[in-house]
Amino acid sequence: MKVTRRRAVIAACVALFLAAFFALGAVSHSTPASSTAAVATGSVGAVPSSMWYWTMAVSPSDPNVLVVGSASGLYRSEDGGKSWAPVGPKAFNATSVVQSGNELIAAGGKLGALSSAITRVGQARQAPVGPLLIASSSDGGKTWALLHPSGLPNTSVQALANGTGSTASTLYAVLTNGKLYSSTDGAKSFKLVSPKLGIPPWAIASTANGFVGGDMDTGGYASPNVSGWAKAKYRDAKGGLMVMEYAVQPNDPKHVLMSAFGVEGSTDGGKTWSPVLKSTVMFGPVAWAASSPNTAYAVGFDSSVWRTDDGGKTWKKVG
Amino acid sequence: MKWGGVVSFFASEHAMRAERVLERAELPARLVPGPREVSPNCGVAVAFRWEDEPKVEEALQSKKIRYEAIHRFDLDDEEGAGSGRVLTGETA
Repeated sequence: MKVTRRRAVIAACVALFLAAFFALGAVSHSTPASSTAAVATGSVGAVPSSMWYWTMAVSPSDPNVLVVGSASGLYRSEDGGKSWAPVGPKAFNATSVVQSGNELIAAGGKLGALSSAITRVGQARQAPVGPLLIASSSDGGKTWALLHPSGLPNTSVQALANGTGSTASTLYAVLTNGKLYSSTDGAKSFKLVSPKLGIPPWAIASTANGFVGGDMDTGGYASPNVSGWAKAKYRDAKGGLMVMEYAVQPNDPKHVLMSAFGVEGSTDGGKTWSPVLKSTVMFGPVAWAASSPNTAYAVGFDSSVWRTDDGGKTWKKVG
Repeated sequence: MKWGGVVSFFASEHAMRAERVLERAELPARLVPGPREVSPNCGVAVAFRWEDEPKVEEALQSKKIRYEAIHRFDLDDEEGAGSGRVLTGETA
């Protein structure tokens, strides 16, 4: 009797094991084409999927409110990057978001009119030339109003950058056609600074030493006044030339973060760089929080979100 | 443009090299953030047209590009992605 009961228990265990084994096997096999699985577009714990992660800004008043600009538009987080929701204009290739005074300014191109969110031009790559889309938010990115600034042609924006020092109230806009404009009235009007930037239009920042610029294929450059650029000696962690995006610390324009493989940091306005967040993953958006000067965020192309609260010395994965 | 497949890699530099190889072979290709569903190790993947899959595989192998796997995966430029769908998983 005991033997029979033991056999029954063993048989039940074997049956349970086989059932679990076959269930797992069914999951691990390739999904047939007829039974597609939708991809999550909004999520807790990572930035929603997109064809490209371009840029990020932090709310002027709350270090836990972030806005990421992507090929799928703007995504906003109210909890320091743990969860995200889409905000702002639709069909928006949001290549740049910056804080300008008490507002956030987002710029890029209208996606529906563009064949893609990113394209190659010669050795470099950029957002394609297309119609302009620029918007502002005065409530930390919750709501957005379209802008129609005078003096700025109807050409998509590749990058926005705030001035520093004597030009602290200036907002620079690099267009996808390589022209550089500036605004001193919070993006209400712009004037032409240079008809040709002189480097591939991708990322640009104003630091304590002038300007730094760069792109992910031809590398970094430096210029005292954007009229002439010198190639930077910088090499990324893999020995390559990748520059993804810059972020200048609001109260210290010598302190700059730059994303590439992980995040690089500079304390001399972009002359020299050293890794502050080591990673084999390509990073894109990076931004400081003006209301908490030692806080910054970075987003990896694996959708991860990282935060530092000590000026970039240590980083913690938050999403 | 609609992309029907992605190649995942063990390292980002392999993905960038693969994109170059495919472009030189005149096969439309695009570096993209790695879709979570194909679990890339390096964060980036290369999107391509699924009808080019045999040529993509041949081009990567002939240039000895290390890759993790080739997946059938829908991506749509016009929607800025977010519309990706895993169709099949194929390991190289």
